[in-house]
Amino acid sequence: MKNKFYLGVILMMICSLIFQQFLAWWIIIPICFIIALIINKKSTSSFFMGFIALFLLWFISTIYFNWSTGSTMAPLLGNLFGELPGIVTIIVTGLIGGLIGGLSAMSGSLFRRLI
Amino acid sequence: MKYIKFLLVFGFTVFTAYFLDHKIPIGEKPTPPLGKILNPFLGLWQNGEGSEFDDQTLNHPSLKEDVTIIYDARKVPHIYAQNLEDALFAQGYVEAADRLFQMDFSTKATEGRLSEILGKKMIDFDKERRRFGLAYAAENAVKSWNKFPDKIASLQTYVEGVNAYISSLSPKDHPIEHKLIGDKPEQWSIYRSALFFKSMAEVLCSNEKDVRNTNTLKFLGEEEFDYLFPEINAKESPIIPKGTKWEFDPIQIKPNAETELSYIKDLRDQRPNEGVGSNNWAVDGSKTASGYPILCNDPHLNLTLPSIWYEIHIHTPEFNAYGVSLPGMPGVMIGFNDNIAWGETNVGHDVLDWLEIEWANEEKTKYMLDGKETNIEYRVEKIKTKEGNTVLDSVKYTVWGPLSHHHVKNDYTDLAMHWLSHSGTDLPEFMTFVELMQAKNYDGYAKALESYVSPAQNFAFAAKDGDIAIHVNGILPAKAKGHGRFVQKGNISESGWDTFIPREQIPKVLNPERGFISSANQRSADVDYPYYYTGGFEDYRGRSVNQNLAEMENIVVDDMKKLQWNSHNIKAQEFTPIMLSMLSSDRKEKYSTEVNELESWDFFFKQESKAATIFEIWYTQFYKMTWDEMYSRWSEYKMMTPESWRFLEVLLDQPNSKYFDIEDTDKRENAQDVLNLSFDKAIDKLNEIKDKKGSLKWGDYRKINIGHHLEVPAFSAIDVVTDGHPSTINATNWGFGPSWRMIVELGEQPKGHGVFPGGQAGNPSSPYYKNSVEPWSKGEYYTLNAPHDPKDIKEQLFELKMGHEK
Repeated sequence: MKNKFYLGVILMMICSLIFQQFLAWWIIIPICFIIALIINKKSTSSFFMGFIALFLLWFISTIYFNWSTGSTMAPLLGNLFGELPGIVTIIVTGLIGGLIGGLSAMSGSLFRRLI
Repeated sequence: MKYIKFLLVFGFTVFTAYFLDHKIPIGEKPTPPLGKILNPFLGLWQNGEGSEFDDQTLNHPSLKEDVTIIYDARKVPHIYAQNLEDALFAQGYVEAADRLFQMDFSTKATEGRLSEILGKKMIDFDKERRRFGLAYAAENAVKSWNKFPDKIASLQTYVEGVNAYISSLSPKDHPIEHKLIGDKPEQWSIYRSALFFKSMAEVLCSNEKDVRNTNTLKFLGEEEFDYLFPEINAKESPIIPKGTKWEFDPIQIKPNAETELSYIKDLRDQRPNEGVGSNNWAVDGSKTASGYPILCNDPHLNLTLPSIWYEIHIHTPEFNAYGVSLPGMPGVMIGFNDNIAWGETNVGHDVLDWLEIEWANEEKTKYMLDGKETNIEYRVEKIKTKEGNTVLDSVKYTVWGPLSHHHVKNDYTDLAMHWLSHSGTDLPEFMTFVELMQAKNYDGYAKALESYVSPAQNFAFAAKDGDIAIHVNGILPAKAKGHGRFVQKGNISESGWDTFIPREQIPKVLNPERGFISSANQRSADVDYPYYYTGGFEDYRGRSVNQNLAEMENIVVDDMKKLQWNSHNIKAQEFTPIMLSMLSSDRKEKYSTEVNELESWDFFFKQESKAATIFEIWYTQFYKMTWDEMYSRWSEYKMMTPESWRFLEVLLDQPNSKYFDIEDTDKRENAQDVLNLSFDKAIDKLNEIKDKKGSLKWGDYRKINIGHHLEVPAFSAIDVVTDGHPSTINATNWGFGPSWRMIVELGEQPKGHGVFPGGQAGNPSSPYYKNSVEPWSKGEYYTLNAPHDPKDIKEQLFELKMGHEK
């Protein structure tokens, strides 16, 4: 049972990583929706599946992209949004990905109940 | 139940995602589309710029041979090309790579297309831009440039370089600002370079006082107007030294058409371009320690981030040029090569006139010209909005130019604009700064200047072979006395200008006896120069520069650094003792601290000076209270107030005149009364400043903001503290100042020094975005290295190799 959860997380991360290279960011909605639908877990654990997958993907990629460009973007965005420490903008980025990923996965699992 | 649960969750998901993908107008500030811009893969996280770069390569069919570009420790590109065309291609490419948003956005703004990007709230801005006719002017320029097919090839390769960079981008690489406002960069073109030229012309040569002069003359009558507003300041030190002989026969000029005066009601926000001005000077070998000439230039402009200037080094087998360019135009604007150095300041001649239109019918479709009804021509402007609408604006054009201030209400005056920069002139003006890079001596410099049109500039020059020169240069109308000083009648063709001062008769001087040449936006020549010209001229900086240069001997570069940093204010030096002498003794006693500051002052506007703040506040109050009769009518009719040098003369000449009377009081005040009253007001203001800023130090009170195009504080440099005042050589003010300081000592190898308040990169996250603001604010310089061999560039950030692609 646990393995299915991790499989879902990994699938969501890989598919999102690939499709986000060239498609708009909200492509993560159908990705998480469909994977959660196939994996077929309860709605709460589906939410966490999507949340963890997209939080990790966005958070880690952001840390990577920020680090690889001399860690200059995080402080600039912190300034742009009003005197925030750079790390907060990285966490917020992760949370946005996680929230949409989680909600989409939850929707997918709830949709499965309908069919 | 299952359905409802699904719909609720899914609906919430879609709603949240939509919210994160769009700007949502909540309250005053719309929330940014956070999902879009924080998306790690296509959003802003892709835009970070550090100090480590990978080497790059580019192959392009437009290139003939290989080009090597080395970026040095300050990210200045050093371009090594085998021919001029390849060099200009590379220039276009590197400028776009660092300044794409600036280039793209500023030309869209010039064209009046901001509604397309920022939405319908920009409609009025766009309409104003289009009625000013800058796109029309750019179209005319392209038409006349196309008459030089062999020369326009140079500009074309520059354009291809810019486009080569734009084409290399995928959406994730678009500049930060484009992503933030939801726009994308557009392909560059010759037309867009022309737009850039015209926006420069607007900044530098659209300044006029026609409406204000007309209203002031009507208000005061001729005698008083002439008394308060003489055109010649006896103390002024003109650009061409007094006593220079004019050995030519001036051309015939038709007399000025008589103008019947009426008040002009005008809705325009009249913004005097105060502070747009510059210094340049050169000394010959007789005045320097090295025996070689030294040339200096500091153009004062609105300070912006990214800076308007871009530092660049271009090397080909034919020339080796270094200096600053304006991204959008090929060539080096201010700089040097192995043999010569050059730099510009603005010429203040008035080349924009307003003409009052006499309508032939009520519908305002026909106007009178030489007794005949003449049809208005329409140029239909289509303004697209981000919301998807198109707003049409039919701009009326007369024989003079656009009716840029055409009002619906009848009590406003309809004025047509007659501006030199609207019409195409059959000269390849884009070549001047390309040819200056290649010039080897005085003849080469003079030849390069021949194609230059507008905005007219004072071109300073110095050469390794010992020559120094300055040419007032550009297309300048030959005007009869008084022509263009006031609003002209638009119903007779005599009101226009149809002749221009022949280029060889425009003031210039080569190797003057005094051993130096200089300009600081003052009048071009002494009163005996046979042509009339009016406009906006500066009176103090030129005197400071010339006084200093006349005294200096054995000059080394450090002396020039000090001179560019000099904040001694002649205006303060002339006014302060007189103002103090008229101050009542009880005030002197009561406010002894402030008075002592002024009494012991050296008249320098240094950041630590308290006297500078006291003088500035007191003088401003004194001036405003004296000329209250003009200021109080401003909402009704815009008027002029006397220049400060004339104010001083009036103060000494007629201290009891009616000008000093304050209209709002029953008493009849004289100069002394106004001076004392203004001192009381100044003290109140100074106390406020002390409370707010903690001290009266000039640097604490007068802080400089260097703003970003989008007015984003995180992308700007706020509260920069430095020396200077608009009337001093180091001409700084709240939002403007020396936008580039350069000193070049010629010699076997030229030695350049320079700094601008910004950085090379246009990317706000880059360490090279505003790294030079602090050194600039302290008067420090970088060494400008222009080695012939790329190996001599010591610290290299990265290399960009370009080559021909079949």
